[in-house]
Amino acid sequence: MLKPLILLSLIAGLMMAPAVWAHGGESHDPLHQHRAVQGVEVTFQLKSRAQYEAWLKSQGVKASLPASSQVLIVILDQQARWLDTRLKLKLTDANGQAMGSASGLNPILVKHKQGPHYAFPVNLKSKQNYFAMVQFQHNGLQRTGFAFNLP
Amino acid sequence: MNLSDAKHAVTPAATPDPWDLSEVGNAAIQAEIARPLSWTDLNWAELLGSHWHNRLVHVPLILLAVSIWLSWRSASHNQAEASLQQRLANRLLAFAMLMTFPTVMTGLLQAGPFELSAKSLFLFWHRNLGIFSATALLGLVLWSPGGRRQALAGSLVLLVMLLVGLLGGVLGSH
Repeated sequence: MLKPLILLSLIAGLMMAPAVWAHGGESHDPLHQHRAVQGVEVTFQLKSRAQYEAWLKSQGVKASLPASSQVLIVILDQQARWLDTRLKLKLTDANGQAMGSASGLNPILVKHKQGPHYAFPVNLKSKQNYFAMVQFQHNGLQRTGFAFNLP
Repeated sequence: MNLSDAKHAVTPAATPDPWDLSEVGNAAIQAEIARPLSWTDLNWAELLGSHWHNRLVHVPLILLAVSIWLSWRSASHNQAEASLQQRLANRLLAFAMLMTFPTVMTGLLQAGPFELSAKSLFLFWHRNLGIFSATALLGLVLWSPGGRRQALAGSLVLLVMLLVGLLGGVLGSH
């Protein structure tokens, strides 16, 4: 009686391992965040130029690389489809100082079957806190905020 | 209208550009971050109407695990009780096998976005090992040796299914 119960517990424990393994790391990555706004999943990611280049290659996307040290990527996903809309981003440092244009940054639009996204070329300093507001159009104007610390 | 009237004429206020974010400061961004999710923020059509593979996949796994347990137990009981447990184990096994059909079908429907992605290698193994384990389950239902042999054979299928689940987890993560 005891042996099968132990075996069953082990099997049940093993069943949970893939989920823990697959999702454990993601939630701790401050440079890869998700927010849900009015049914739209907003993905916000900061990549170095090299990471962005590798990511474009892995997605099979042919896009020119911006002349910046990092790239902020925003993906709008609605019902497994990319939401194509005007998008604007306001990026500030810990003191509220706007990075780039005070009224917001306009993205480089990368429309591609495999990896449509909005790319914002940025040059951010490490060990700094940053705040970002993303604004887009979907049933009216929608906004969502992100905060991250650059290691 | 004379000149003095014109001086006091009210000029219509310029409509603020809703895309102008120059007034947006850290306080507004932090308030947006702290804003709790509302019901309308969730994508209900996607929550209810898609990713059924991710839900269905647990049904054959659990049924198979319980069936293995009952088969194992049936070997150490008196004949009447063992027969009852084995019958129940076989029914659960048959139900687990039937549930692999919608699981595989919904999985194939969900596979599209991964086919050309960087994870296509994992999709290949997830899909083919998944179909293999469903076929193995059908074989086990047809064979049904009963008792500990069935429990051990079922455990092997379950291990393959866990490997399939592991690969599915790789696909599901970002």
